[in-house]
Amino acid sequence: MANAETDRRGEACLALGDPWVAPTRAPILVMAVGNILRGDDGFAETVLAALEERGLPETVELFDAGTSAIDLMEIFDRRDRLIVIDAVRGGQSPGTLYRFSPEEVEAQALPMNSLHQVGLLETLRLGALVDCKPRETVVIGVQPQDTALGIGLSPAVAAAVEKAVQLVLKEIAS
Amino acid sequence: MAAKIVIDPVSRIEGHLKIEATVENGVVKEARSSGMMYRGLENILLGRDPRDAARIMQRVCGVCPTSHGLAAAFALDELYGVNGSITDNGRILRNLIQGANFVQSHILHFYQLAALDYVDVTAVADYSGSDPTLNKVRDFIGRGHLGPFVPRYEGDYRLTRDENRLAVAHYVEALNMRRLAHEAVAVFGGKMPHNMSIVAGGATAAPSLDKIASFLWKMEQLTDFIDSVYLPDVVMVAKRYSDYFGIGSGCRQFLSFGVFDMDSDPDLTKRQRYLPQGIVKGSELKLRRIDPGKITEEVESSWFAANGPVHPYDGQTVPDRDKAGAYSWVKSPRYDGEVMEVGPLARMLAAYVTGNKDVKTMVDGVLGTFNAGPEALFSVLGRHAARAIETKLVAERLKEWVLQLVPGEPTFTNFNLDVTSRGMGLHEAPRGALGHWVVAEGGKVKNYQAVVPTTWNAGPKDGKGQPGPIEQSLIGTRVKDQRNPFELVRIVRSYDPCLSCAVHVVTPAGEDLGRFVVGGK
Repeated sequence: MANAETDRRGEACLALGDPWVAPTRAPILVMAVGNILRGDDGFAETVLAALEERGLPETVELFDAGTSAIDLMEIFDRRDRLIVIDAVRGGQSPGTLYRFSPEEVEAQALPMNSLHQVGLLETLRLGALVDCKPRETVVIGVQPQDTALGIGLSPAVAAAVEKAVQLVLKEIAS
Repeated sequence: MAAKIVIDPVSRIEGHLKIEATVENGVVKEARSSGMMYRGLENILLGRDPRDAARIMQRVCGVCPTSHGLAAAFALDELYGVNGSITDNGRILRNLIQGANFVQSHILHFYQLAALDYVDVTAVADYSGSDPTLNKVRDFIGRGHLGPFVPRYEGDYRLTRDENRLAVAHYVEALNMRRLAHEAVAVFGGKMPHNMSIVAGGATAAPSLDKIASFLWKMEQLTDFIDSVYLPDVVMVAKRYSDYFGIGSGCRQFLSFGVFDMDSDPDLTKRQRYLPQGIVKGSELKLRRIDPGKITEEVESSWFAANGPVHPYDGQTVPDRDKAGAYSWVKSPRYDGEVMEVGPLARMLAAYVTGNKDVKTMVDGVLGTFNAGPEALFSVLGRHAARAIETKLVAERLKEWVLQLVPGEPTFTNFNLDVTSRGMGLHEAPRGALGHWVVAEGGKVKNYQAVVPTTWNAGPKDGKGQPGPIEQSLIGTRVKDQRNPFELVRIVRSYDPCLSCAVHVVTPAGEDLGRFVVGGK
């Protein structure tokens, strides 16, 4: 996961010409969105932790974005692909996994589905204004059961973690 | 004849604040500020290792995690008995991480959260010049991407077409600048959002020459932007909307816990801070010392089980959604039973009355430009001016402080984990006074309470019937057009309200995303 060393890359800012930091950056960003303090909203963080154990190629960076969608613009900069993991309210049974691109959801004008989608979609749009937009974005979402106060996933959502890991690995390989 | 104006949500991008104003003959008679979400994340810390607070409390907020992390660290310093022995490097690193976050937050507030109440973005729609940024924005809104720019009210936009276009170009430039400030936070914060560097006992980042140079370079860029773009834009808006020096005055009593430590005095009410701690009342030009024992929280009008005005050490967070007379999830914090406004204006007033020369010069300069007396500070534009002045002064200080780091010297003071004690963390988030209180027994958290800035500003009526600061600012305001109540949103947003301390409890109806299901059940 994100540590001081990998995040040194986060400092790099080619667009602004920072002379102090080398402009290296992993082309694929896997980003976990959610509040770990709200039960199943911590799904993404759990998936990210599981992915960390898988020995991913160097082209992939894992990033725990927590609850700060508005701060993500810089993280999106100079990425080929962004894979977002999030809790998504899509009307199916708890633990159901979704896969969609922001464009697909935007076209349907459904901005209020995810617990964080508003911030995420808006940030992606604003990012386009300052050339901080990944070339391709896909969202892997889980239907939450319980987002009440507390740390830990409900059984239905916990059971979807491994499936989500596989989906992300498939995205990375594709 | 009375009419009701409801603005819900009033916050742009983050948080969920609802305002209800009852208007009679064009003037607000009564105002209700309601936080429409349930906090109480403090409960999660019960029974945990107290050190977790500096990590977990950052997660309560998507906008000021840095401040929650540092307020927790201050409380833990006292809990572990190291509040008098933070090293210079540790102290400076904390100031740099927090200071860069102030700069980032204030730029975000003026451009992304507040400016669109004054700037007409549609002035770019028929732009045909060669500025690449304006062309990008024109194409952006031309594609129907109105996301960040609507919904908005129509009518009272007073800038000229060229001023509007300039401001829109600066809106985009500000996105880059706050990104740069965000990177500056990460230089010593290790990771943003939710930095990993601020801990009980100091900070974990090791200052090195390359990091110092990187931070300094970013701050040079930012001060250039603040001097040549942000400050002039605030003045430009103030000139066109100068009546807002007389609108939204509020409770005229101010509280600051102080921020940016200059020493490691164990008593946070005495510690020397660059922006000092204290109470300023109205136009009385003096600073009163804070007695933290006089801070209480009331839940008279909040959806929490009644437990009277209590000090945060004894506070409880037990929801009661059916409580009669309640209209907010926000509690009502009071100091000595009195309503207090918090935020940049409170900090600038505290610094001004204690004779901070830089603050005095800049505040007097702004007032001189508008030929206004100190009275004008208690207003919508007074808050924006205070925030801009603070951004400038903090950015300048950061450039000095970063050069005081000594690579190789310790950043952290060790402590014994098996602790039975309590600790208080008094601090300032960009939005105002932030306090964390921790009680631990046998090395485990027994009680944890946080009083956050927006509860001071956006809290509801207390047991004595005193409305909160935002409510007081709204009452008595003349609303020209009730369908487009610019006055009210401009007042509320001048406080930089932020209620994103939790995920919404209000759940939108789940839309069917069945067609996107993958991997079976």
